Amino acid sequence: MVTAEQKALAVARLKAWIARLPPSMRDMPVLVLLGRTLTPNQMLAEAEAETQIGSIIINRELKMAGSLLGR
Amino acid sequence: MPISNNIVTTRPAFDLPTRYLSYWLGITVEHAKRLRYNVADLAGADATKEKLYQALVGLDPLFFLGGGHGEVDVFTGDDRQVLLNSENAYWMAERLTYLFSCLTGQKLSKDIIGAGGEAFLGYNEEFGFVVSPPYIPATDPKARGFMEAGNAIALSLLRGYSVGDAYNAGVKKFNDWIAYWEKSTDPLAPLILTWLESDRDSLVAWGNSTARLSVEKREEHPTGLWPAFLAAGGVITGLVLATL
Repeated sequence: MVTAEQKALAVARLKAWIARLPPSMRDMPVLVLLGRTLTPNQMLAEAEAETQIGSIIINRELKMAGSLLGR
Repeated sequence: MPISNNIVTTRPAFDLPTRYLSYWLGITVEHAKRLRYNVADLAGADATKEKLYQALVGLDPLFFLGGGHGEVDVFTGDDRQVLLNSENAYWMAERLTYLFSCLTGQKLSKDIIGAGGEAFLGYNEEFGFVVSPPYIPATDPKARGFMEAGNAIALSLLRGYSVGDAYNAGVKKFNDWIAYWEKSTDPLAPLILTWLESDRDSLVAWGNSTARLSVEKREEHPTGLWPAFLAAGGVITGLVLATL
């Protein structure tokens, strides 16, 4: 279970990454996860809704955020 | 006692994730043949429970290599047909099992070891990977690192290294690709790094870490013909050497 603050951090990281993407890539399927192929905007929507797949994405974003802080 | 020179693989190819896995595991199968293993390669629609059972009974392989969708307690084949679960984990007794799939490292791995499996390699979290248009497994530069890292584990075993060595070979390959993408300015690099690190950290090895397929290290022969040619006393000319 993630806290509201952790979810907000993960969603903010996703939004910042998507903002840096060329617009044509934001709806391009790129992430294969649990049998689905998600676009960046779908990843964000799943994370915001905290679906099963969204929770996995949030956890990985938080892990990367922690990993980057540790470097 | 399973036969160390025999291998069984399953690699369904019915959706995008399994098409990528199947293509790349196909490369590993070709390596296995060049390393002179006998391989029952259950690809595509042949990746069924019935054909897997027949191959296991027929070949009694020391190594089972499976690619496909997985859950905590289930490994699947074509159209997500269940191939392995706690009910038939004993099929892997005395064998080395590597499952290139999501989640099976959590519980199915322990079911297999509990049923007498010699060793298990796999992933205890969701195995995610990145793809890009036109979604051709052979040439997709975004997916390559994930697939090469997954294959490095099987290739290490095939070349005669131990389960522990194979685990380390997989981690090293993930790290090599992480180092590559850390230098990249590609817009998808942050996503690729997230999942390369996640997949590396979810790799697990259970059971006998010193187990291996072969007592001697194996080297590949490109065609399989040159060793026979040389054994028959063939003369290598300068022209032939130039083609080797």
